[in-house]
Amino acid sequence: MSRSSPPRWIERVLERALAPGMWSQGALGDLSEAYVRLRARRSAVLCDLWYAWQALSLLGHRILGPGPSHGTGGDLLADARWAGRVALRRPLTTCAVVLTLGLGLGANTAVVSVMHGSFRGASWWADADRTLVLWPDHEFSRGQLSIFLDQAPAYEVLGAYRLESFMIQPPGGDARSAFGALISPRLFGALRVQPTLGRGFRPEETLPGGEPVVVVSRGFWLRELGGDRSAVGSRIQVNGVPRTVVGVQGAGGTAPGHGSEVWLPLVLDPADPELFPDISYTLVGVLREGASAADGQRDLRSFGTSLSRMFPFFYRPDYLQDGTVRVAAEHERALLRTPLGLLMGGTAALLLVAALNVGNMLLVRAVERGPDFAVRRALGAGRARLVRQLATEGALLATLASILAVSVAVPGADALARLFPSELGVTRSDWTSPAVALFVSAGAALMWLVLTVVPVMSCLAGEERGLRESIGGRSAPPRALVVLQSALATTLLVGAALLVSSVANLRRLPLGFVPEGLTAATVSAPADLLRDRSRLRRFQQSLVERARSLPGATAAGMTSALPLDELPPTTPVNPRGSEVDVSVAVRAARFAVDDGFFQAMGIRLEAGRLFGSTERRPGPSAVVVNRALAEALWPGEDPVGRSVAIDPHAWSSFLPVLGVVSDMRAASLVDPPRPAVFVSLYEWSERETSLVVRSAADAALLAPAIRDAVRASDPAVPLGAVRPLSGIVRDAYGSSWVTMGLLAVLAGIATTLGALGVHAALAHHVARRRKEIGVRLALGADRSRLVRRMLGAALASTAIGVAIGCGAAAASTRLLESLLFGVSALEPLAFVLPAAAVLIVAALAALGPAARAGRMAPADVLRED
Amino acid sequence: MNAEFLGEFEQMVLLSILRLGEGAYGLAVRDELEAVAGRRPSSGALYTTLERLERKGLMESTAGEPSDARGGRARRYLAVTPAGKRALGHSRRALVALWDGLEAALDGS
Repeated sequence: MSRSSPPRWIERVLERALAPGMWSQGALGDLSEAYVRLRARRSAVLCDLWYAWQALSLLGHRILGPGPSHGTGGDLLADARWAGRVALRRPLTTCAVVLTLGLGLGANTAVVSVMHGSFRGASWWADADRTLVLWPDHEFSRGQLSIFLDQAPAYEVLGAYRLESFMIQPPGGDARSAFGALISPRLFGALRVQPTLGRGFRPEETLPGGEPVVVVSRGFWLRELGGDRSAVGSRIQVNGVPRTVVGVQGAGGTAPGHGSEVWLPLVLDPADPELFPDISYTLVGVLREGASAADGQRDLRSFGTSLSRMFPFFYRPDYLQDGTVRVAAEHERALLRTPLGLLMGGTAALLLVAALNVGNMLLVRAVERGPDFAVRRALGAGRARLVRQLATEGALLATLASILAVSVAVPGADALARLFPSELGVTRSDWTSPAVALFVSAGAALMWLVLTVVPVMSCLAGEERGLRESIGGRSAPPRALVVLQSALATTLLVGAALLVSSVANLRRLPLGFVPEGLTAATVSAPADLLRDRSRLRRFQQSLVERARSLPGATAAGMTSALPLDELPPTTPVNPRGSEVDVSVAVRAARFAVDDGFFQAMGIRLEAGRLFGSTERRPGPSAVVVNRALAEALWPGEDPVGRSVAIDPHAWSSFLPVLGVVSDMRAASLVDPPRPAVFVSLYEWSERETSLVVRSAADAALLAPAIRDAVRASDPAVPLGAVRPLSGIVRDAYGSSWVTMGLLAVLAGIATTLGALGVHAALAHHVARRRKEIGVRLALGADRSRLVRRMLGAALASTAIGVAIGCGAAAASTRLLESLLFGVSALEPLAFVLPAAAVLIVAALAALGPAARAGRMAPADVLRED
Repeated sequence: MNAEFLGEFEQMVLLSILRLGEGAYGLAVRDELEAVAGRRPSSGALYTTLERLERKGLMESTAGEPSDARGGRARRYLAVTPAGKRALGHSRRALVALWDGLEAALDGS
């Protein structure tokens, strides 16, 4: 049998809390005896709960004292009524307390809910602890996967996926783009959510020539397929290819990634020319029973070694030797940790500033109510009675603040989750989740405690001070309060300043193209069009021609990939005149573009010429390279007129370099521009291309016109999203933009609250020292010196706070580092400006009360009593 | 004097102690209150009342032997003092006087 005596720790708490004496010993003994008796009949948990309840009852009576007649219900009601009257007597203070605490707790609850929802959301994978992401943040090709499959003993399942948007056309519906994944069938089987209708993929569907199939999400099935069970087996067009719907994912199935609607099996076709060059897949493996992550990592590294042996042209000998693996759930969380952690820190600091302000307000109110309490004490009210009264008042305020907090947190969490780019998968947790409920209750309890303890302490202290103080005993200004508030405000401001300058740096980066005024429309060529190159070319050329004649359009072009949108495939580029050698070939992003692309994008030509009418005709083509590629291949030399081989399958067919264009940031805003090679669109059949139109007209207004142009060029071609390029660039700022905005708002609120706090603290200080100041002035003290001294005292406290705040910021900006760009986490200016701002705000806040003290007429003050 | 009048709960506690005789201690009083009066006081209410009654001199307590079941703590045996008995009598008389002649009125309700 388990323990049959009361929980020791509760006993210890009771022993400490109850005054040592015969009654506490007797009561504890009785409780212990009753526990043993109850334990014979009931489970330990139940008995413990009973014991804890009894302990609370003992403690409660000890602290609050019994009601005079034990008719506690009536007393409580009376207390509550009185608390209500007190709250109404000072409506402004009450509102300020409730608003400050309610909004503070509400903001924290919203962030906690979002953190909890995003982190605790079940992993994408069924066996998240054994599922590894291989070499996270790097991508692989399907060709690599097909080789790796044969030499990965540690893995039970090994597969790859790629997230992309597809052009979907359900039977009888309009084509639209939908987010989805290309995924290895076996890896699809390792996802947490599996089809509830129909089936998943079969291994043979990886092979070329298999029946084209697709699995759709439950949402897609309900919306687009009418939620009809017979939809399984029907056909929908995906990127122009009819595919059989074989399964419908269960509710919540949107992984990998967030919000996938369709899944296609990843096909490993040895004849596919893109098998190796297309490096855009994430590799994921489920470990075999008994294998560890270290085994998985060993497999990955030995795979790198064998690749470099098999293809010494492409892979250096150290390829993958620094490749790591990461547990999948960890990988999913890592994306969110920094922005959400910062946000949590920011809102918590804000709540602290708010609580300090409220504490200050309560102190002021307690001082005002001092005489009231003194009279009540004199008339025989027990100390316990007053404490209970204050506790009831605290409970009323805490309840109102909690109600406000919850009503703010519910829409707040949704709004917060929506602020983040959707692919991060930020969601709020269920409101019934115990963790969030616990947080709100703990917050409410803490508020109640603060709202009770502060006035009680102040009352008790006031009692002891008695009249001593009212005739001018010295009282220190509420220094700690000012110090803490200015420290917190400084820390938040430094964080915000760093993020603001980081985003400003990002915005200043030369993109290499001019996104303003550009609209992009994605079109996917159907399979039959893809096979017929000359028809495809006619379609593309006619589309661009029509786009150029749209109202307001000044230029138009086509490209296989939009910058900052999706990663273009990369290809090794080998210059003529050197041995075909891995140390010379440079990997470059490959863009297939038409002759209008550069002008439409605003990409500058640096040397040579761009594609012209020659390249529009079929036949051997040429390439344009960017500055980064030119420098990598021929440092310091003129690349125009040289030639390169870019097709690994036709390594010896060299294409002349027509010209050099300036670098454009295509893959990421943050990384330096990568080498890029531009080939003629008409020589490379690209399934998905984007039309870019430079126009004075708004993207939304342009969309119908572009739709008409596509339809006129070829009615069978579905049109995807029509988006302004500036939107794509904004998305590329990602979470640092959102985090910066939120942190800046938090810092602004904290500084305002801090300023109010400093003002209130000083006003309170002056009010308390009225008599002292009056006496000093009467005795001939210098007014300006008095004002200077008060200002000096306030600024000294603020300065200490600012120093602490800077220290705290320096210690914690490390967290920010991954979000910063072009600015060091210890950038002096980002510390100096906020520090100065806090000092100035504090000085302004202190000016009023200090001046009031200086203007005081001593005679009036001394006459007051 | 005001202190001579006892609260309802104080009366119940003192009466239980008297009923229990020599074996009266905290837990037994609680059981007696529950069994006879159908009232389950909370621990807090019971022990603060006991403490107050002792402070007023209406009840006294003596320590018994410590026991293991009580975590090595002794029972506190309770006895009503003569002052306590007087107070009970006083309260009873006051209540009976007030009740006098009201039976019919209450029955009719």
